[in-house]
Amino acid sequence: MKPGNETLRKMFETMALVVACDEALRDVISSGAATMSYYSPRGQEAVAAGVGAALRPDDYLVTTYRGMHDQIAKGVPLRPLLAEMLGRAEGTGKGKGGPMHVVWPDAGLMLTTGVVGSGLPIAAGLAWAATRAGGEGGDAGERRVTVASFGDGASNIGAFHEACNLAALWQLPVLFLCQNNGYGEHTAFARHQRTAHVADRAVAYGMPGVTVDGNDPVAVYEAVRDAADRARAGEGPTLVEAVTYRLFGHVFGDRMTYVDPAELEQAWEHEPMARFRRRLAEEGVLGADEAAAAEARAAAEVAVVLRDVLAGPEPDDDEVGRDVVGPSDPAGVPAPAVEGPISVRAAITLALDQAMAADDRVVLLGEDIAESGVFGVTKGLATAHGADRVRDTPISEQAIVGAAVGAALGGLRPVAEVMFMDFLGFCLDQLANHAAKLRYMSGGRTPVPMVLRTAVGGGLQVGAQHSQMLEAWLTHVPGLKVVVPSTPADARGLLASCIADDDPCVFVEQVTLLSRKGVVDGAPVPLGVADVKREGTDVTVVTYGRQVHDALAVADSLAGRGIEVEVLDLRTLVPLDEEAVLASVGRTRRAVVLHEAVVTGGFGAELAAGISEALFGTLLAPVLRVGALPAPLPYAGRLERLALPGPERLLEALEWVLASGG
Amino acid sequence: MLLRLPKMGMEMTEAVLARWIAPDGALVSKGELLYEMETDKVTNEIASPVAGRLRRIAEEGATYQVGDPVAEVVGDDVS
Repeated sequence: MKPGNETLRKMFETMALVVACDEALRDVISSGAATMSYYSPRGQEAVAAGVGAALRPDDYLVTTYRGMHDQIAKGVPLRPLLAEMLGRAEGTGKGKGGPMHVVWPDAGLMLTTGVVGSGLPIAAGLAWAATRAGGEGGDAGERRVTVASFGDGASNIGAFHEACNLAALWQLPVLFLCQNNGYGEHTAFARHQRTAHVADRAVAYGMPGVTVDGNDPVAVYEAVRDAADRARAGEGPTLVEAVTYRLFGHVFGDRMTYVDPAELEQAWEHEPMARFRRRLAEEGVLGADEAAAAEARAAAEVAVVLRDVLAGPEPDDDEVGRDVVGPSDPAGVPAPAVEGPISVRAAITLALDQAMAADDRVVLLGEDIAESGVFGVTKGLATAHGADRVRDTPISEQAIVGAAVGAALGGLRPVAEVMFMDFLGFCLDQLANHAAKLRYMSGGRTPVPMVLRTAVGGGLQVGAQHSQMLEAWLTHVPGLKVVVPSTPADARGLLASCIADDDPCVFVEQVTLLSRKGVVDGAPVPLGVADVKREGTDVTVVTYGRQVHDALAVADSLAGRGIEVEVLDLRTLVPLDEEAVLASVGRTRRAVVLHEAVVTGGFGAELAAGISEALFGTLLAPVLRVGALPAPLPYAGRLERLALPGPERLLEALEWVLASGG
Repeated sequence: MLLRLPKMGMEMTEAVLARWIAPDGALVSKGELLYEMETDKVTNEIASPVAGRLRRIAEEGATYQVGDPVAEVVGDDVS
């Protein structure tokens, strides 16, 4: 579809604004008035202008650190945009995200990422959410489109492949827009792939791929309009490659010594701004004087905004700790009592079923979950709530978690399943760099209400790659909530709380617990509230997950010797119920910290340090840690039992602590 | 306009003012190269963001911190 004259003029104005901003920022940096890492989009402004003009205001955009042109073209106001780039309080993220992390949901800008390729799975999730807006399937004609903008360098990272495959498989209304500027960081296109055009890769995913002149806003506009129309009509994604050039290299100060000077000279000869100006004059759309006036207006506007922004305040000191996570609902989510004891597995299924029945926004995704999931946890849910809400995925952990992040940004409450915790390595970027940080980096604008369920096979003799408790990887990242239930009632209540929570929660399911039965009374279990599973006066075992039951067994055996052990089940590691820990150990004056994970660098170290710091004068003995030995979990049953922290090692530790001091 | 030593790259904290390109007191135009700075990583030529008369502040061969004044370019009514 060809653009009309008004659209042509609008695209020129957008390009003028990008060029004016770029020049002003480069001047501000070289004068030393501001210090920032600046990734100039100059040379790529025609791509952004074409995309911006082809999209609706409510369409979603996901872009990258070299994204100022995209942000301006999508309609992000200059003032909060430049303020964020310069670290000021009135920035899009209150100055906490910076130039690589601008978001402005009012203009559909849902994510700017500093990590190459990571935006693509998130875009797929946004597109999925858009198909569900306004009810099942939505009205195709009204459907929002999501554009994922990325560079040629990103087409070599796994996230690109996983996202393209998933989006094509699910026929999502997404447009993968590769701004091929000839370089991935400092490596030229021909030195990072043998494919002639990035768009050639589209065929591998079963979607159309087109290559257009990215220095011609009209060509970009037409390609994006066509792709957006297809997407809105439910015909799935398109890979659009816009061939362009970055005129100032990778980052401000890049001397471009890796670029052939003749190539750069030629690129400047074909730079989009002068070319479009000439064309509009030739076609009688915009005269030379009008063009000059438009460019002068853009420069003047930018100068005024930039002056104000530079004079604006930096963020308050309080902002350091604000927006890391939102508050967890202290009330939790109650449910009707269940008759008779049920298993942890059934309790998890129940929580998912109840959440899906209560809230249309709750959706599930993961490998093989539509039938039942590898451990039968999701059995029956697709039948009860529809296959559209219980989605099987390819074996693509980055896409699963990235799509969950995007779906959460798009208004859904996704519950993603990663089959084993050992596979978190595949998707840690999505979890730790995106889910965990998007609330903070956006100054609270884009929280990520998602749940990641994952199983741990320790104790099942399934070997070192299906057995690890890796909660310490997660508790170390501010922004994630981490939950490990030990009973059916807690599993039901905690999972319901996770789904209702506005932050990313990781819910850990130890497989050896799944068949353990207990009464589910439906009492709410809010996040951040520990539970005394057994009262005692002589020593506290601080623990969580299946080790709670080991601790209770050992406590029973010691009771026969007149020793009363208190067993404190943390239930959630983040947020941690410090008050309960200190209250218990403050009374018993002795503590052993127990978990299934390897002791070295484990969450127990955090607990032991916290207890020692707060109760140094009260403790009668050092806080001992009991956990797995520092080895990959061995396969042979006898060795696995030796490596894991069984009741014997706990008993030994308790006896040592009880014999100390006093 | 007071010109300070710019930060060129994530890890830069200081640089040597390797060489003045524009003469002290010269009328410089916007975009004209003023000086060359050298870090452990790279040498960069810095252009004037405005037009005016150059007053050098920094000395050749000396090391400056990011943000230290290096020059002033006075008046933007000349080209």
